[in-house]
Amino acid sequence: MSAAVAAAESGARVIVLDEYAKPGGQFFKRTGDGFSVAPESLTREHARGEELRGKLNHPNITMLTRALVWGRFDDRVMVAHEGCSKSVYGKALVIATGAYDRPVAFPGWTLPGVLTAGGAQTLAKSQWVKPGRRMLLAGAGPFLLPVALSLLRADVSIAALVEATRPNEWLPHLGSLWGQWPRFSEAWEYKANLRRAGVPTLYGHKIVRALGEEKVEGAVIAKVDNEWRAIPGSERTIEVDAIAMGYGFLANIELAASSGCELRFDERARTWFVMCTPTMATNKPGIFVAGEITGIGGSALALEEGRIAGLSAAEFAGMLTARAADEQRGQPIWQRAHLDRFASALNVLFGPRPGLWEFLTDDMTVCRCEEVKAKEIAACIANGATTTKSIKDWTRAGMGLCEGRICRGMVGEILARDRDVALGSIPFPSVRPPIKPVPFSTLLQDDSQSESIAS
Amino acid sequence: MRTADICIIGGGLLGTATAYYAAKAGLKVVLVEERELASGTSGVAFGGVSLAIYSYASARVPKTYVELSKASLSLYQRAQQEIGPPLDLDAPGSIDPFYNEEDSARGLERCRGLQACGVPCEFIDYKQIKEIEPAVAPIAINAIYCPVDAHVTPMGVVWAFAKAARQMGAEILTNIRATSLISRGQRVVGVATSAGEIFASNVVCASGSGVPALAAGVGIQVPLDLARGQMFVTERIPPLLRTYVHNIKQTPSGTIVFGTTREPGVKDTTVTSVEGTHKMLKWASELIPALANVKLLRSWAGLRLLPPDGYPIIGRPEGVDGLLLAVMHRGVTLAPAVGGILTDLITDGKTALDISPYRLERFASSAVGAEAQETFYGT
Amino acid sequence: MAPERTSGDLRTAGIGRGLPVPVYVDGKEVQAFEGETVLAVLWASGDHTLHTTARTREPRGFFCGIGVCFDCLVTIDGIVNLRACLEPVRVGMKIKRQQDPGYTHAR
Repeated sequence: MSAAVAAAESGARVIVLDEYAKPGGQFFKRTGDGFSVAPESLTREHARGEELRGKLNHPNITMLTRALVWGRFDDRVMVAHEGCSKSVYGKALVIATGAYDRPVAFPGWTLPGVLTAGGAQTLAKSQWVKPGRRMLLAGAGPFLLPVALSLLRADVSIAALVEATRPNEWLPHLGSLWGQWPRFSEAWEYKANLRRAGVPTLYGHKIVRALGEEKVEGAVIAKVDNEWRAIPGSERTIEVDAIAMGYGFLANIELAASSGCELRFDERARTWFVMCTPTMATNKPGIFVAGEITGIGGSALALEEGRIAGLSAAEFAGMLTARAADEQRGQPIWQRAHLDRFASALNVLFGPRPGLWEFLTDDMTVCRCEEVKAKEIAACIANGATTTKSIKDWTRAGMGLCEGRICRGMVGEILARDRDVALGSIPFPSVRPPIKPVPFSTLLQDDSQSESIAS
Repeated sequence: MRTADICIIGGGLLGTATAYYAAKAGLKVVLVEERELASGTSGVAFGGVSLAIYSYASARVPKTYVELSKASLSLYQRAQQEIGPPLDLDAPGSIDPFYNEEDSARGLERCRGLQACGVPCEFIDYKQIKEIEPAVAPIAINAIYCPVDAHVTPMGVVWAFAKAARQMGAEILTNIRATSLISRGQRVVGVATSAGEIFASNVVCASGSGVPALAAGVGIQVPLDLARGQMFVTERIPPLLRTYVHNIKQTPSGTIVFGTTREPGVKDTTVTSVEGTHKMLKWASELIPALANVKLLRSWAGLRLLPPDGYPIIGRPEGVDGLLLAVMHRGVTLAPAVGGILTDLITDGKTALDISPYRLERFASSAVGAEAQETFYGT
Repeated sequence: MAPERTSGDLRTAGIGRGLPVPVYVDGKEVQAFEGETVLAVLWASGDHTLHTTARTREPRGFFCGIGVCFDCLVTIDGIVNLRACLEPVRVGMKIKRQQDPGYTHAR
């Protein structure tokens, strides 16, 4: 949204394509039409989101929602919208496809009732349905806090918030966190809410098993060491009917990757992002990126990157001189560097540690779509497979509907472990259209009336 | 430095099949593949093992070619018994549909010719098509039905042959690039690779698009046209197809795989196109209407290998000793036969099947037969 | 403290919902509300098995909730493998919990 506004205000005609029903992505999720919610129940994020959504009414902006970009070919993007496949031409493209919760397998993780923190928050916040009556929140990092708040507001009882790190681990990083007072006060407020609601926080613990036959009936948590490995004998069972886990995020880089954008592996976040310059340009002329796909950094950072990308795109499309673009980019670029330091510190502190993957053995389901177990993947590697692609071809892990988004990271971890190689040395598998599955009927309903716009 | 009886360049269908039959015959085999097994054309092929399916324009399939295909299918069946998964030969029969009277007439002629060669097949009308394969739309007015036709997942076949060859002592080496042939006078004696030299009394070039360059290094010209082929796969759906219909099949997991475009002169053969996607989806959903609500999951593209007259290039080229070539269209169907033929040529100096039409030297003589063109490449 | 085992809607009380939208879930008429997703309707009912998997018939609910994981698969108006978390309810919509297609073959 931020990029669209920046470009539109520079005079460019902008078309925004969003897969969801309403713009806002994950940061500025909103409730569906028809809901009426008392103001106290809405968060500060909501106000910011509404403000930005309001700006999308700019005359230069055309907004298409429930519009899935299924591929980029040479000179255009292809969009599935209202049962049709449409070509959209533009002089510049900004990709800001966001992120999703990092999937982490543990015993019982496929049971109905085991959810991601983001999924729990979405159901509670946008639909006002309780993911469970009594829930466990488990993971690492500050994202668990707003999720807990959304759940409490939806009248969910939270049995415990289980955080893998310990407060004494945060002290060495206080330096990088300096100057981030708004973040601290936010965190303090969230924690105050938790205290008021009587939700205990357990540090240095993680979830090790979800219990239940047909759905979640309980959770087993355990103490962890500094590498997040469960300490035997420390297990404890808690009765809950849903478990939300939050271990950071993976970026939706598929569209950028299939468009030929160069990627970079981030050691601390332990995943792939799209490489970009300080002006948010990629190695492909005319393609710019913003937000979580350049690195997990939170909404404030995403907004600055969006602004930069929008200006750069407008400049590329000839709507801004280089000088004007540089002038306007100065402030957000500085802001971005400042916010990035904070984001990096968070990645170091809360980024995945080896113990997180200790359950990727034997009968653990790794590929949820095709039900492929860790032992099948291990056998494939023992037979000589060295890439994610070979494992996919051999076991079908990654060939399901989610196109590898859930299992790819874990397959990489198994490869890295069994072949004793760095995770970053395993190439990100090539992505081909469609970026997400699209019905034949939509693809064949070719709307040849193409939209030709400047950004 | 390594030595072997046979060094095979190329870890696709032809290379691994040859490795299997050569190892079986007791030869010392080394295979080198520059990337991973089946990372070239073999990894992107549809997987039909067909006696009856050809281009729409084909009215007559030459007898020698039919014999070659029959022998290959028979070897597949035996290999399935001997090796098992992941070779996974599936033989539900095939339907090759015709959409107009012209194509139907040619199809009928083709069918009769195949029958005369002992291929079990029938020329059927739409009513009969619908009985065998209810999902097919009436735009198919006639078809050739061949109840013995089969299909495979080409990668599975490659891995199966490689696994079995290894078990018999063959060395299958990946991520090693063959940079040139080593010759002494008029004799090829080995292969220079990125990991050292391999000396062998027989060198087989089975590296698809890489064959012409390697052969040129010893003065042998191999004419080979290349084209991009685009392939597509859907989500898993309930059982829909029993046989396979031209190039549309349902895999054991339930996905529908279909293709292929043939686009000569396309620069980037690793990317798919909107036009190719549209064309293939239109064709598939007109023929199998139930596909309309099915979701396309992935597309991919690769190199298709097209010798100018459609026939395979198999055997020892004249003028140079120690070298064998194997590069062709329809390599999925022919791979086991070719593997057997090359092994025979090495161990016995001859082979039972008539491979004279596939000599490289045929290109030097008269113009390429138009009939053969139509059979394989059609319109 | 044991969670309540009483049946009853998981919708948060005290929230104004949109106009009632009648839909069918596994043949039975169910009251949904304008603006709800199919997932919200199914999850609120307390029956959290949205589908069973193709190979092992394992029950599945939802996982990511934002349209990425394709775990919340349901059949709607005859079309299989749709993401319940993204589909908005429509009057008369026929929602079915599905046995995922695949790994069984016609022959």
